[in-house]
Amino acid sequence: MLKGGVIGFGGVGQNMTRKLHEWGTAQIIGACNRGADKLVIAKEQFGLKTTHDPRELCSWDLDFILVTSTSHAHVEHVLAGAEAGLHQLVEKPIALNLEDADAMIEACEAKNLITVVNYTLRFQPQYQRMKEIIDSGALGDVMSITCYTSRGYGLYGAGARHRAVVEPHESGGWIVHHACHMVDFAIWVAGEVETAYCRSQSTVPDVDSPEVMWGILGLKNGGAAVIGDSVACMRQRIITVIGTKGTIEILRTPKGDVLHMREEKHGQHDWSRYDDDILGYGTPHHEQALKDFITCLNENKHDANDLRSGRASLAASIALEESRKTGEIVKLSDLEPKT
Amino acid sequence: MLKAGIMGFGGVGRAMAKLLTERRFAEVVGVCDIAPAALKHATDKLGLKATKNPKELCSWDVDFVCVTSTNDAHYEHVLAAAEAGKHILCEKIPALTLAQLDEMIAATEAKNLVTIVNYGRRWQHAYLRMKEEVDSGNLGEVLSMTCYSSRGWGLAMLGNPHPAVAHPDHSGNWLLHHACHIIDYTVWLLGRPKNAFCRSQTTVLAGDSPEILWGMFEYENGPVAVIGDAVSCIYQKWVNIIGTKGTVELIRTPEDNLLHARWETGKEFPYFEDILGYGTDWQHGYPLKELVTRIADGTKSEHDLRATRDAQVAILALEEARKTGRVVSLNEIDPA
Repeated sequence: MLKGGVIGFGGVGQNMTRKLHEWGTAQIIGACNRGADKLVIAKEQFGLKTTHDPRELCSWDLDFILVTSTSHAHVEHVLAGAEAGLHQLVEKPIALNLEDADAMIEACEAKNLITVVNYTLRFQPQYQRMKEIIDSGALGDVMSITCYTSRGYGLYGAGARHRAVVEPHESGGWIVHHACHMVDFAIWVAGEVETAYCRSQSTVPDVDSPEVMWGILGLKNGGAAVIGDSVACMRQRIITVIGTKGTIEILRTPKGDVLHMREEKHGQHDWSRYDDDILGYGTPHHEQALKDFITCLNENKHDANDLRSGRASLAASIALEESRKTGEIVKLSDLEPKT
Repeated sequence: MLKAGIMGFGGVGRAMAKLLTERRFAEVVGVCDIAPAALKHATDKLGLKATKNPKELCSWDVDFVCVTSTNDAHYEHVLAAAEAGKHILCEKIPALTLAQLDEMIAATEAKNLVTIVNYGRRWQHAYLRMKEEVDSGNLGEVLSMTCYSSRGWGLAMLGNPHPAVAHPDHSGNWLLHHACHIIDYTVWLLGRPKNAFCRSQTTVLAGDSPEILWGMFEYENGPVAVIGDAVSCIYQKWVNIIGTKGTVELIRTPEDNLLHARWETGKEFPYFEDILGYGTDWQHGYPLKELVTRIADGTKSEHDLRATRDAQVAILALEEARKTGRVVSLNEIDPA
């Protein structure tokens, strides 16, 4: 059976460990964490070997690691795993800057390692269906994609303390930490981004840490990707893709996520026919990336959702963050590392 | 009973005439239109007086006119009505330029006329409820407001362009003609923004006629406002307002149009606990009732021409941003 280690044993790391043990597809034998309290959990509740040192974990008899640490530490952990020749599932965002991301990609590719980035929407059936429909050409050319998500956690001003908001120096801030999901999905379905414009709001005093953001990304194909992300208490996700031949949307309703499509052939709208175009309902689940990663390891094949595929989202998220700070329209090409 | 004239006897004009009659708000005396078929319909089917000349209609014994002509004609028709001392309900968008709107405001205010602009969301229950939540302070300070509307008509390349897309010379184009609704609603709730940014797309091959647009307004030390409007085939309306104390949202689902809220109490789940209501209404009856009531009372409406001026500036700034790809200050459009 495949053997793995977890670097960063917080909620996500613990959940992934639990799932792997439930599925019986791989065994987590060790955990690494900066703080001591999570290692106590690792030892006492999960029966794992523990260490504070990522290199020590990587020296154990492992096939893979799960990098579920805070984002600023991903570069150190991925490089340690690459040096030890370990395949990796990496939480998003892959890094906090493009120089680190490039170093990680290079190190893993040099050793032909299998990597998967946990951009969860790429692995969920309703979003995969959306992408299939778009890729099939059924919507024609994509003119506009809108991706909005509200995390449902709560605002700082009302007493909530999401770690990514409270510690932007480790998380990269809400845009890089969370809006990256929406940014990644937009790029995944609609293609390359050239420009970014962003505005934000926050209730956090004294620290520059956005909680609500809206951005407009200019796509290379001439279209626009609109990104909205909020940590506020209402939970919602709405994705709408308008193409020259039709529109598809997913939105959260009391009955679950509705996938809904209308082709550009109906002419004038007929409200009563809304139900005709429902493709399905779904609920989100977050473990599919982990399943796919293990499958790749077992089949010794690389995944399209690898570290390199996660770079574009990071670049666009960083551009949004830059625009947010300056109030200017930012060209992504201006932020590329100088070689 | 008050007497009314209809300036522009297309779909909206006929609907207003019907409402005025059925609800006994006023007696419709006559219509004005440039299309012979419309005039024939008025005379033969409805027994109304009819003319091609707006000044002639305004010379008849009418108390008010409903200006429901194409957008480019609103300026001429409102001025004609003002000159004749007629109260006015004017369809949105009241004018295609700020200078025109300012002239219309001056002309109607000089005669102390009642004017109302038919920005329909100002009269719809769900939108009024959301405004209440903002105005009452229940949502706290507004951090973000998003309004998205997809008209459900269809894109031009399928062969049946919306008239506002096919004839931007008359409509002003899709942004002025249709996004004006949600821009007005945003400005009504949040006030005049500082800057505008916009991107648009179209399937129209010739000419500058957007069909999908996304814009952002920035406020001085205030919220971010996002505007999205599409003519495409899916029908959707979405409004989301995030405040420091809670979020309220209106969204169209397979079940119904859903208005719901969630307060910043720290509870993450469950979803949709705070449903405030279902359904939206959409009819021209409310502004008509407002008009006749104000005329009877001799009072001004809060939805008059002047009340829409800030929205007009925001609309024109968004259009300038769309054309140029720049972030545009509203002070460029309205330096005063």
